[in-house]
Amino acid sequence: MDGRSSVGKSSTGAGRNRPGEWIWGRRVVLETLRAGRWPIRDLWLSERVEPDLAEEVRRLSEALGVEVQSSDAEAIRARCHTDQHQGMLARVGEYPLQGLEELLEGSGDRPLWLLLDAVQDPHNLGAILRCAEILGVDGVVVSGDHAPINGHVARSSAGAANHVLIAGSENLVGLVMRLRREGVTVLASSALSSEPARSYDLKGKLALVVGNEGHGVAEDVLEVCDGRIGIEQSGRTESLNVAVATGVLLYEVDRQRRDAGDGSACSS
Amino acid sequence: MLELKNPHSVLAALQTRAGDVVEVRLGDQSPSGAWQQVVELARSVGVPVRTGRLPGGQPKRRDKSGEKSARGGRTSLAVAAVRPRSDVGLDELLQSAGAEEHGIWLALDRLQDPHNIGAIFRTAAFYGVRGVLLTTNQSAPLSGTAYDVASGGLEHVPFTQVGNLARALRGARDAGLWVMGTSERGEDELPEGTDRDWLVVIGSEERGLRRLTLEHCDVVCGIPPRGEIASLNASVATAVMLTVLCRP
Repeated sequence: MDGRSSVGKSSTGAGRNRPGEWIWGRRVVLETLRAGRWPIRDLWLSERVEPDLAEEVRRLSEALGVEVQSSDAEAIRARCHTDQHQGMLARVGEYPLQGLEELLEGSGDRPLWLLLDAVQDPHNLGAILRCAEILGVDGVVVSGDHAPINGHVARSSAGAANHVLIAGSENLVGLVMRLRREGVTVLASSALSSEPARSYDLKGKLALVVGNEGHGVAEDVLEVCDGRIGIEQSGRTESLNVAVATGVLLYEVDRQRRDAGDGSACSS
Repeated sequence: MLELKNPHSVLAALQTRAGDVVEVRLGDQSPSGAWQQVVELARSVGVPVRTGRLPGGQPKRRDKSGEKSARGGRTSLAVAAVRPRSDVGLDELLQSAGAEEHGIWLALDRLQDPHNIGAIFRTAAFYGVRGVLLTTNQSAPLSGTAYDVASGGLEHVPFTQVGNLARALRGARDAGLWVMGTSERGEDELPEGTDRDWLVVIGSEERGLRRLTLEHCDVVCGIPPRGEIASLNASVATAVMLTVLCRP
């Protein structure tokens, strides 16, 4: 699991836990409670949280069978080592991945899927999930040696990890080939020898493959995709951050679909 | 002094201002990949390359983000000690305004997250942004994390830090730039292509743009939000704006 090596010499009570299990801050904790998907093991609530907000937390927690522990801000800080908890801290269990078949079957007739090939940085993974949520992605598939979906990712996603459907795949090449057989256009995001987004029709059934921070989409996956999609550059550095590039490409998809006037990107 | 851990940010510093790179420390493993390039370039320009930890360098801290451990292979802790890049001042930043070829500048209003600032600089370099204005108050400092996330972008794009953003925006308008605010409630259509010099103002992650900042904007554009979360991450929103503005 993530974070094992970074616990280090911490002498506080939290040291025995993996830091990746923690979520804090009102937005993320509330989103997690409201969505009710991701199991919460423990929850600490500062006595200074406003009564109506505290009441909502207690009500949602009771419905989920989560015990709420009253605490003060300093004790919460001591557990999560940050002042940014806003009076709410929770320890989450393992993220409940969706079944792949369930995810693929549950999407509408013109789905948009995002396939992640070994995205390793939790900030990037979280930011990608946030984009996926906002820009109408029907489901995300994680594959390869990727960052675990944990508290770090949840925080970077601003809670979106609770809403986007995420499944895992052991065989991305096989998945790409299967989707293409089923009439889905599969495009790999690539900084090299790619065509700009506007040269593709992105309005139909679509899966976008995004690669690892260092070496991009794996060669064997690239080979089986319909094409490479990129972003036109006007400056000098060679590449964009993977989450930024994903956001830009998803925006292009959304824009084409909106311009077509069918609003299909909002439907699911 | 910055401690840079991303070999790409160190390479960019060596290429653009080698005199500010004080030394490269390889940690306890032999360098590979991009660090090998760092070593070769550092040696060729006379920057000392040593093994072991930086003297007085911070011991390995518990990394709250989990980033390091999740990256697996990057635990060798090679680092470079680099002096921060210097601020150019507003006048110099804006000096190419009004040139025949239009340009884009960015202003970051109280951004709190060094990852966002770094990612925005990386994107700014990708799109050839002419300069970035940053606020000094209530803003994340230009830390080693920002440099590392920028992956060289902080070396290629000039910047200036201003105490009073409203005054700087007035200065930019006087220099002939058009000021574009960005807001999830923005009602103006995002223009395609650059038909003028634009200064795009990006608001803080939590609070957006201040009223006084909005008053200095010529247009306020929005990106259609979807889903259950109010808006895109600041660095992604910036990239989307730049993509549309730079559309050929």
